[in-house]
Amino acid sequence: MSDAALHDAVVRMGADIARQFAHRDHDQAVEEVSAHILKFWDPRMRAELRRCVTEGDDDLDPILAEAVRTWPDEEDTQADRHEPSGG
Amino acid sequence: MTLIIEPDYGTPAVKADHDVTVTIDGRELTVPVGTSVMRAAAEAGIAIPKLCATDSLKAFGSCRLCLVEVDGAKGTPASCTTPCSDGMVVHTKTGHVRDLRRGVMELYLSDHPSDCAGCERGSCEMQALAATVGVAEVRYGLDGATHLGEVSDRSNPYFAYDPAACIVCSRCVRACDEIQGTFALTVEGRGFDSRITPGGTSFLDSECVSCGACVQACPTDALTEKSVIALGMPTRSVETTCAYCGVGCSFKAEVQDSPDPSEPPTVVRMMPLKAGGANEGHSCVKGRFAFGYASHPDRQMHPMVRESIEDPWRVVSWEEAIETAARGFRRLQEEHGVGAIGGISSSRCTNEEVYVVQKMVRAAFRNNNIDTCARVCHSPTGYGLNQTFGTSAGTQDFASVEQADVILLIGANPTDAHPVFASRMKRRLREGAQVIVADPRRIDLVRSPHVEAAFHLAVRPGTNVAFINAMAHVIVSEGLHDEAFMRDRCEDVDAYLAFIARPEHSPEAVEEITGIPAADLRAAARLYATVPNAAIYYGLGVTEHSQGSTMVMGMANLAMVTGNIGREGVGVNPLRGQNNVQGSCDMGSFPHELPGYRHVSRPEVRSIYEKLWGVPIQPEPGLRIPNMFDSALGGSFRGLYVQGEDIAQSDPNTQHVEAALRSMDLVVVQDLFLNETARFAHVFLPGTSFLEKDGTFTNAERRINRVRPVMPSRVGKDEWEVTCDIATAMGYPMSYASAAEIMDEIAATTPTFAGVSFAGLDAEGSMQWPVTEAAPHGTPTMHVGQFVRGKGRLMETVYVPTTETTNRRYPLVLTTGRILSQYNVGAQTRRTDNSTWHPEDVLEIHPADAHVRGISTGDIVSLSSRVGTTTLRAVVSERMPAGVVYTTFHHPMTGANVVTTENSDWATNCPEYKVTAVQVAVANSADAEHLGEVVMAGGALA
Ligand code: SF4
Ligand code: SF4
Ligand code: FES
Repeated sequence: MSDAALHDAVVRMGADIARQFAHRDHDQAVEEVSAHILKFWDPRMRAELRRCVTEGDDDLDPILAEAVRTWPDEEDTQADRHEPSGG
Repeated sequence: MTLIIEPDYGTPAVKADHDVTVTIDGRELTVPVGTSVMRAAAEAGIAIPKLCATDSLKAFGSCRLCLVEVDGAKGTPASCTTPCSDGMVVHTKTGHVRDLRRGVMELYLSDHPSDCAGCERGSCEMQALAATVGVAEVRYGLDGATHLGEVSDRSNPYFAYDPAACIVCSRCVRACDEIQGTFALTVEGRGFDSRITPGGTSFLDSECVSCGACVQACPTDALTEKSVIALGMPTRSVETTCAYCGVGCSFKAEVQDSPDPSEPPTVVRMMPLKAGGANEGHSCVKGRFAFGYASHPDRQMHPMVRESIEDPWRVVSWEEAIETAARGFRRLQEEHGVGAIGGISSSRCTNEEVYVVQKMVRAAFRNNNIDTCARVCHSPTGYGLNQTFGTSAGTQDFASVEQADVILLIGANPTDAHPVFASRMKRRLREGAQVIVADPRRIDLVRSPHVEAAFHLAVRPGTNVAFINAMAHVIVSEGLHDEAFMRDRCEDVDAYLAFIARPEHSPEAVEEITGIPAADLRAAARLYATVPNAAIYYGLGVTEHSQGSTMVMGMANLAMVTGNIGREGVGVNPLRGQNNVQGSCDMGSFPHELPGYRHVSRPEVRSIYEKLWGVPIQPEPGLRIPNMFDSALGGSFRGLYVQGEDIAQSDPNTQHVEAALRSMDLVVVQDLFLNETARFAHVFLPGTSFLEKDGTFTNAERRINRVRPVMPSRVGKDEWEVTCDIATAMGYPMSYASAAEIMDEIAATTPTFAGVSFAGLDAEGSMQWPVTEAAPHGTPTMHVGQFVRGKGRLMETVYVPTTETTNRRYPLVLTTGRILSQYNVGAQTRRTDNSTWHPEDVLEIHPADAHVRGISTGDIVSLSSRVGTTTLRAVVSERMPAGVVYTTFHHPMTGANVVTTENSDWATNCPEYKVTAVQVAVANSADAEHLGEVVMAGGALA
């Protein structure tokens, strides 16, 4: 089995989210993207995204990559799930 | 139980600010001013004979059977058209009026078949009425000119029209006009020659939409359900709720019991309930007539299992099927981890059934891999309204539209998809309200009899957010906004005003993007902003986009900017697709939320369930449906329980879905039929139809309606029972004595349902959540005084174009929808006579686009996107704008989702069904032979 499907999905979905916040100032955009994904994504998808960042996937949206780097350790399951833009 | 006969007061109830007192037959009665004498009498139990009057229609005064005498007044006025006035003294039973009525009745009977089958069976009121009026025999005889030889029209699959029995009371004509709003019937000719006709043709070929309102209104046997003709009158009724669309109409299921008690009763007809909060006695062709699927021979009655999806099915006992499912799920978790399995619940099932599925996933599977088919329709509504208003639901009840001055209808086609609400809407439009239609397609509400939209804004698919921002831009830049409301009730006001005032949001700037002429958009925005009450109604043309959630927030912005929220006649209202979309979302069917829209990360919410269920709840969100598929292909997700949803047909990019299903080790399908998804299943669990369910559905106006069993489960178990059995077999004991007990658990754990119980619902009829101590009878209008989240949140809704763009290879945009007679993937309606109207899905294409491709109506064409190709028949139609084609997804053969892509809403992954870049070409003869067969990208025939 390949992880290609999950990889493609998280890259595509992550980019979709990042594009929605691209107009914001940089730090805000990073914060929004990070919080949104933490709030709504299953840990295995976040792990896949983390893996892309660690392995330096060139296709990754830069804001998305930066958002992922701000995440706490995967073990930190009580991370704040509050989106700055509401919710 | 017996047949429920709702009283008929003859004329509609009147709402008035003061009362009058009249004396009828010596009794003093107080009624609201404007009430007819007939109604006042009927409410007091004094029946006045009537033929042309019925309380669902305005008084007409044509039959002269209801004559009364009034002290001090000349003649004998008709009681149906005479309003009560203070001090009036009325006599309904004098010798004089009795004589007059007898004469009238004799005349009617002289042209009514003496051997009327309807009179015999009780579906015609004439003979009973004759007895009331005191006519024993007809003095005129049947020898003169009569209509008795006229042939009946049996073209409609569900009802027959027999002109010989017609008394031309025109109740049918008025029902079609006043209740349904279709204006299909007319009275042709005058006097004795006058006849009812559906526009000079047969019912089937006419404008008739088969709602049945005329059949229900007809006092004789002239218009009768074919089922009544075939089976006779029903003997017992059960009040329940339609299982089709999100309008949630209340019905009386009228049945005949079998002499053999082991046989299920036969449903003779479904009669809309006048007391129904959502429908007030009306219905559409699906709810009233299309119930035959429940007893269709295709229905699977036995549990089945098989080793692999290549093997034939083997019928087994419930015990074996449940054990196979439970053992399989347990093994997968042991081998691949807790997150290796999950469940999908259905918006067609009851709240109780759906609640139990999410409980099984959370407590027995011990994960949050639960999602629902609302993912693919209204998940952006959940996200968008939650962000802005603080709760994921429409703001009004349906009756609210009666106070609206302007209706802004976006991406919805209610006359096809929400017909009973459309009838309400059309009635309001006839009273003078205006409608602005924002939709690429020229839907019926743009122009139909007695409806003419103020504006049709043919927004290009995929550009909704640019459009809604431009509406708000006009309002704010022209000073038409309600600044006081914004300052008082909303937050982020200054940031939003600065954002929306930016010149890039002007109608002129976005005209190229949206395709909407700037002048029209400006005028529409002014109209929306300047009337006392403006209401937004929307459908999947809003949500099923890559910016579906943003658009929902954009509409919420518009309502807040103009103060159109928090009272009757206004608001933001999703028209929900399926009967229980609202309910399935309310019941915690999303992987990030526990019931009541509370995020799984909140410890205080988890602890409620942890205490009650005795297991820890995962604090992390689980997988959404599309990510279940992605993870299945990746190998980490291996087992799935699917309740009543046909994901292989309804979800986008069929090739991807099928590959994912094929890759799983265990797929358990619970459904009425062996659907497309069942092709990939290892365990099949037969489901129950709505006629067998005990529970509740929650409609688009948050109305919790009771679903009551007409017969016990025909497969031996209730669906919630099966779910409980699987959980129990997996080692987590789950059981309830009844569905009512499940609702009690929901009420005990979900604040917005705190006051809901079956007993309460049975007493009240229905209730709209929140039902709390503060609002024990429910909440018709939300956000009065303050928003659920405190202040309403204005969101900066930036337009981000979809990545699904047209090019030379795929120059057209495909958008999808549904039609009146069919329902979603058609599993139910295709198994009824509704297929008379829609035997296949067709592709609608603009004349210019058809012309350059050499396509004429009726041609077989190929429809290709980047992911797949299908063939279907073309219909050249001016309803479509150039560059946009349209089809429905009711038939598996066409496989419209073979061409739709995996693009989805950025926030919720609701698929972007409404925008797919495609090419259309006349199919070559080899393709044409495969009409309805689908080719995936890569060439395989499916
Ligand atoms: S069935 Fe409905 S649409 Fe058809 S004629 Fe009767 S009232 Fe009109
Ligand atoms: S409008 Fe919807 S709920 Fe009402 S009868 Fe038709 S399908 Fe059923
Ligand atoms: S019932 Fe009053 S005139 Fe027909």
